Amino acid sequence: MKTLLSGLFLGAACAVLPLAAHAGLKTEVFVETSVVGADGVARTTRAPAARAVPGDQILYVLTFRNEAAKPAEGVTITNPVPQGLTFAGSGDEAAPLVSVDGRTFGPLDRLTVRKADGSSAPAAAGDVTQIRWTLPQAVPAGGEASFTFRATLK
Amino acid sequence: MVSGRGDIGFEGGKTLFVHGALAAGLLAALTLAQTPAAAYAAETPAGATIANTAHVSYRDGTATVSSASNPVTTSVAELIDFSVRYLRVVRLSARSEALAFRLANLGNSRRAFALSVEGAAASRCKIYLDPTGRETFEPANVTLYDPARPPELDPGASIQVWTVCEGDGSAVGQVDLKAWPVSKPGDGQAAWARQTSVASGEVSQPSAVAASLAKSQSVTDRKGRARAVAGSTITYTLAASIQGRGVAQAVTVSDPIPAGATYVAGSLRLDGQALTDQSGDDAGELAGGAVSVRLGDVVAPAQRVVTFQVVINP
Repeated sequence: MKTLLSGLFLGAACAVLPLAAHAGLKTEVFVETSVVGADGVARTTRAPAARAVPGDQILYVLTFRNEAAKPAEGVTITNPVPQGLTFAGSGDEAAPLVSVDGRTFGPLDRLTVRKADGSSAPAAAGDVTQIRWTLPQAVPAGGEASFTFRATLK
Repeated sequence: MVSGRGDIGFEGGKTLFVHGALAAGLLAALTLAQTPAAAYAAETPAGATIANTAHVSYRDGTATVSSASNPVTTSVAELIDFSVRYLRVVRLSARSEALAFRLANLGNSRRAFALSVEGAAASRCKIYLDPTGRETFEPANVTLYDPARPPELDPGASIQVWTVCEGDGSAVGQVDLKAWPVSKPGDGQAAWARQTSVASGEVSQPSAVAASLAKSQSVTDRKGRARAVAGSTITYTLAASIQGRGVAQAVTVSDPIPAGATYVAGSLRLDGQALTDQSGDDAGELAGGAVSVRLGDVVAPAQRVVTFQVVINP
């Protein structure tokens, strides 16, 4: 979780963001490609993901911007995992809570799924249907917070 | 003592299909039994749209505010991916074998795939499609591959493909089945996982067939004792062993009637079944002072037993 509680950048960001166009939350999508350079080091490059093929890793970047005049408290971002994608983790330092049933949220390693025979098994990334971030601190007026998660196209 | 020496011959130069890939074929058959034919993961189909919208809620001091983000969409492009796997070898006759392969569409769009046999044996091989996927080659189940109408496969679907190769007397060896997607408009937009896929099976390595003949005899005199005297009957047993792997073609067992003895009419037998002494009506004959039995093409390993009797002349 990269939280940019910075009013300092407000001026620059305002020029780019049409205010209130998305009521504060913006989503961007990229395809990540790993390319090994001439020095033998693999680097990940991002390109806007207008098109993707099965197996591609897709990166979603969600940016919340408090466009109101008051601090935003208890900011909660929820993102259902779109059909056709398998959740592949978050790049954020504070991992989001996830859900496999849309009701119970928790760290992935605490969740279980019910198998066809009635027994329960540890949930896997592919079972995740919802992702949720909750900010412990308020976002000041004009501040931003961004969140990321990765998913693989089935 | 009367003695004789039998001969066994076969057309050694015109052999032979050998099951070089038998073990691999068996493994493939076992594997097949464990995995259903259509067990390929279904890809997200080309043309689908992946839409993502996130939601935010927060308190602005008094009220709770909820809103949705802008939706972002990603369209799923075509992924061209496919595979050919060798499954098993099935013998059809002494001169031909069928190799089974499986062609699978691993991409996310319906596709036609062209097929060809590569390698030295290509001109002697035909390709058949077998939607039944049976483990044996049944002419009623297969259709000859027509390059003008290549098989179309849905994403995740697969089809069994046979190559049937006729022997020409020399070693055929490796048979490669190659598959590639039939191009169509818009291919430039697709992602290609591979251009072609080739799987190899093996038929007809040089023969490792060897034939040997073991001759034994039992003697019975007129009083039932095991004595070789005038009038005693000698029963000769010629045990022909075809060892190794492959087919020994046109195998003939022959044995001259020994000097000093007379052939017992109608005593010729092959594996216990009576043969006539005349030529042309069955596998055996008495001609030119020798018995001979044509065993035809024998798949190794095998043992065939020829017996006949003579009476020691006075």
